[in-house]
Amino acid sequence: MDIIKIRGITLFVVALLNLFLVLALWYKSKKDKARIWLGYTALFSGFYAFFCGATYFFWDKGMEVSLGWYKATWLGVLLLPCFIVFTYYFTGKTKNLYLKAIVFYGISFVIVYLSFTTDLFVKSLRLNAYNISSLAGPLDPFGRVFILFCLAISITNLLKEYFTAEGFRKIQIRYFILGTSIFVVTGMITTSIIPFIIKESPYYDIAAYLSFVWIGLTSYAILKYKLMDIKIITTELFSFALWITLALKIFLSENSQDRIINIGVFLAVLFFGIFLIRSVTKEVRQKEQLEKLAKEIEGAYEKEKAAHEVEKKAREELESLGRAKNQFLLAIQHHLRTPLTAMIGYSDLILNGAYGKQSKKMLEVINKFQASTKSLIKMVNEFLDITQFQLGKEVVNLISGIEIEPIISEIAEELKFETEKKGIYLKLQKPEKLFAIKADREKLKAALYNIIDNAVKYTLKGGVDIKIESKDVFKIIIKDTGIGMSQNHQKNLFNKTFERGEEAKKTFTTGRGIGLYIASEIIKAHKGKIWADSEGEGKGSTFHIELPYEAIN
Amino acid sequence: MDKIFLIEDDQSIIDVYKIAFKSAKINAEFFSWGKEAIEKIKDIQSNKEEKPKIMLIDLVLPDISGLEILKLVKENEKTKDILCFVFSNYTNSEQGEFNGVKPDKFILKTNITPTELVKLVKESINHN
Repeated sequence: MDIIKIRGITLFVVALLNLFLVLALWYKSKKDKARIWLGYTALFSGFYAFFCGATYFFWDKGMEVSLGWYKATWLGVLLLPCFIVFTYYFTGKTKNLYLKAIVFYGISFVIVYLSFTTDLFVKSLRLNAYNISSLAGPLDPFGRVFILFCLAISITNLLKEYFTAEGFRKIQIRYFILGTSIFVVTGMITTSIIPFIIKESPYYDIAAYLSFVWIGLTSYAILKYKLMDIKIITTELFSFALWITLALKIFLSENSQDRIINIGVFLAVLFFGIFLIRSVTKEVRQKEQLEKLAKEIEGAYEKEKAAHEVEKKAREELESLGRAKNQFLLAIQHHLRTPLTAMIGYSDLILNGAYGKQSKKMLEVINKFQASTKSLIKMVNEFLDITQFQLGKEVVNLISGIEIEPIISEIAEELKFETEKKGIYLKLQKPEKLFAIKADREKLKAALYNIIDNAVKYTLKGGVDIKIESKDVFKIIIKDTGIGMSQNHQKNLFNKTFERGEEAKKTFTTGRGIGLYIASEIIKAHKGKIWADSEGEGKGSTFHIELPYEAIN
Repeated sequence: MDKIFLIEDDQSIIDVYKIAFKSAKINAEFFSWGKEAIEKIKDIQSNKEEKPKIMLIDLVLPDISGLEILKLVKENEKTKDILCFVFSNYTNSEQGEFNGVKPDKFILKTNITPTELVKLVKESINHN
């Protein structure tokens, strides 16, 4: 087979490939106008390749036939307006599109009509040894300029979009511009510049190949989601090249035997190529998934770290808040107590004659004043103790050798006024031996004071008995003949809430439940135990306090 | 005569104790500023002044902390035998934070009356 025919066949193959492009672009394109119009572009590019091919292939039918086919190649000029429309749809600038399209199509149709029916565009053909070159008509330069103009518009549209695009889209447009530019430049050289110099155009078929490459690249950019998989791209390109070459070999086979072998090889390579492409694609996708997973894990780790930071900050804030609260409490302690010190001080001085002898009435008044002051001091102490408990601080400072009996005697002395007024007794059964335990004297006294004062307060007749024992444990038992407690009341006695029980509420309007809570906390801090029992309402109560002792004198 | 120091910034409290110590015929010297006390102690340490038997030191002073005074007294050979009673309105749970220097006694101001304090001072002087 001669070279001319072979060239025709290769061009037919290119036309076929263009057809594949059209199918690939239109397949499931739905309403994607950009793809549809790129499909039209590929269609007309296919026509161009086909008519070029026919010009070569049917040369042996005579010059007139070939000339007819060659004139038809100008139909391919319609691919230009199609491409322009594609760029408008791709960049989304579809305003006045119909108007613009009509202009381009109008000119294109005029060119096609004139080239079919006159020799204004194509004058004649000339056969060389391996080539058919064309001799252009007078309007041919205008056609070239028009083509160039269309391409310039397309590239301008793409460039404008390129500068504002980001990421993947930017890459896509880069491909379009690359392909279009290659086409423009080489097309210019082969179909305009060289013919201009040598007065004939022998290389017009190159434009067919180039247009395939150009539209092929563009289609590839449109169809593929991830362009940058170099591995996949090169595998595919390599396979395509191999297939095309082998397909050509089929057509160029000398005899049937060769043809069958070539078909066989082509099919084998086709399947193998498809398999290879799929496996490479799978590998790349897996790698991408792995990367994505790694990123997610890193993201999760970062989130966890951030959450940790938040938690740490919250903890630090809480701690600093605690410290601030502590500072505040310390300051308050001092400020609340300072004036109270003066009040206690002055009342004490008056009572002890520092300001001279006072009348009985005055002494009575000052006593009451002092009692209130002492009550307030006690309240302040308890309030501060509670906050210390709540801050988890150590409230007691245990020292060895504290004797209990003097403490209780002091308490009895302090409550003497009240018990005498009420007409009830307060008896302390002194133990035979003297006991010393490890205790915080002030705090223990406050605790015991609360319990005994409680007993006194809720006893209307009879009195309070206090007994100190030391059989196997050190024990203080405070028994009263007062209003007693119900079962329910006994359960909640040492709670933080201001429980006073129903009976107590009826009898008195004053009284604070926190006293018992503080007392129990202090006893616990001394590593002791405290509990209470009663046979019922109206039957008195007994408070039991156990303390670990360290020495018996 | 035996004397004692009271280092305290609140004027009303000083007034109360001035009368109390006067009634009890105790020779007491009063300091409202930490720096004054420090100067005095330094003088004592360099033998320019007589040392007191007891020092009652408030923790919260306008210029310094009472602990500095306590430290100064207790860490000096000459003055470490002076009885130092920390006389404060902070609860004795703060006792642990005395930076290793222990006072001889901790007294909570609101829990003691002048009469009781005078008694305590007299006992401590006689005991020594």
